[in-house]
Amino acid sequence: MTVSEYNTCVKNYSDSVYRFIYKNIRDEDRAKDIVQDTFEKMWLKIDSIISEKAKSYLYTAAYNTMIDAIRKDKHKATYQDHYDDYLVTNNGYNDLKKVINLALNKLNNIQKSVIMLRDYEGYSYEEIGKITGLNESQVKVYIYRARLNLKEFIGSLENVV
Amino acid sequence: MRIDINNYEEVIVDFLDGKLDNNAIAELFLFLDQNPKIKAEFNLLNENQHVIEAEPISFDFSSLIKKEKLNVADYAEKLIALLENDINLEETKKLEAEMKAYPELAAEFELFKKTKLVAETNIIFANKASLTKNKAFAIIPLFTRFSAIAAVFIAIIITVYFFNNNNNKTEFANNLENSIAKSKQDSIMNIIKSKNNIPNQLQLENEKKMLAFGGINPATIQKKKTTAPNQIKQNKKIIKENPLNNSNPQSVNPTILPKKGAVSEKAILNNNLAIIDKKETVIKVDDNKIVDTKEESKALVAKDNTEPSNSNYNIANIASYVKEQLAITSQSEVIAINKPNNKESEVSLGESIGLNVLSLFNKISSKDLKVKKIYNKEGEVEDVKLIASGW
Repeated sequence: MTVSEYNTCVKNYSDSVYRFIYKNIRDEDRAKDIVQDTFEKMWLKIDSIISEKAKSYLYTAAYNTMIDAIRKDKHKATYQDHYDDYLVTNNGYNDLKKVINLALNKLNNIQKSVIMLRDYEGYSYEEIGKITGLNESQVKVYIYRARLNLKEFIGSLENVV
Repeated sequence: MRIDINNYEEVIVDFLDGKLDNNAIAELFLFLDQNPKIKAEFNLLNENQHVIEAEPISFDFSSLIKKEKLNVADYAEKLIALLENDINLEETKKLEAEMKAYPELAAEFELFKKTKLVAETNIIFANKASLTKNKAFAIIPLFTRFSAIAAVFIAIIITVYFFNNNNNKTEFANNLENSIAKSKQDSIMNIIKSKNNIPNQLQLENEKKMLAFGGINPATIQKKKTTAPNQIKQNKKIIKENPLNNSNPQSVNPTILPKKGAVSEKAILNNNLAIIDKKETVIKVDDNKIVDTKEESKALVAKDNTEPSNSNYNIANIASYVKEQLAITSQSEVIAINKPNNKESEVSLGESIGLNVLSLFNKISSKDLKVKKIYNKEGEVEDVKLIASGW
């Protein structure tokens, strides 16, 4: 992988990687740090990474960095968590995007990650498995559960409205 | 059709069911007229004839319909598979047909469609410039960087450690030399103190003792000083004979003379002398000769210069000589503490805190920082100096 290809990766994938991380942890600063770390790791291994697999490497590195960060701060509860709960209990929704975001935040980390990789990036079960370290069946099950949870949350809110 | 006794019953039933035509009916009534018994049975049967009507009983098929009602929860897996395009064509068509047949199934699928996430393109990583690399350069792994930093710190610690050890050794050596010089000074002081009390015949012996310590005859010093005081300033290098050289004991040439004023015996006895700067008292020993390289001897000045310089017994020369010899012997500083006469030093709160901090610093760093106050003749603090040793 050349420096030019590396820069192309930055241009093409930095947004999506950042989006993926930010939607998972919902912390802008930490998401930026993780993206920085991810690209730093990529830069350090620039000689051993094939450009065709750069995107996959990026997502794998970003996912692992994010998991490490989440484990470090797993006892921390963010203000956003409580704020979301407040919104759910005190406001009606007619904006599907907001509802989806809220529903997404109700998922556990692995469900959230796999469904975002599936929907945002269109990865196959196999590719998602490689990124997350799961096998294909596990990915399938997690996606199934995630969609079921999302559907139930959306359905329950629609019923309320 | 001929009606006889064998078939009249069948024809009567057909008549009752209305199935006989007019000819058959005529034939039937002709037969009945010919047989009155059968006619009576016929009339009885015809009069009591009645039709059993159907009761309003209906079968409830709704129970069958309930059994066929769709359980959409069973279709969740299939619907998700359809959403994920993880289902074959045949099953897709079958499922679509079922969704057409059952609207609730279609509604359930619509709900699942809403779970499809759409990327929010407004979320972007703004600082891409921080990620891009303009040119290839040597990549230094983070571990290597930390290792290098750690190595530098270790090197600094080791250097400081050895430096401290070295200073401690130097300090010890200096203390030892000071002790030797002190003992020597005490001996000379004893000689000086006893000089006024001892008989004249013993003075010569004392002077010899002083010579044995590397000293010279004070009387000789006084003589030499008075003869050529200005010559000393002009001599850049003054060569004097080593007084320990027995071959020429009388050729002792006094070289160190007070520059100004005189030092009283009291000043010497109270150890109240000014500093002899080590740099100005560097003496090189060259075989039997001592070469004094300093340009000018620094005078000893008593801070309480109470005695006049024209004393009969010019002890200042002796003091100068003693201090020089001490410097030669120990190559160390002799620091006189300037104390105000009959006045106790008062320490302010700020000074006290400063001294405590200094003491703490000395303990931590194993250094020897001292604060020295310089007093003027009036006993007031003229200057404060920070003296560092052990560095």
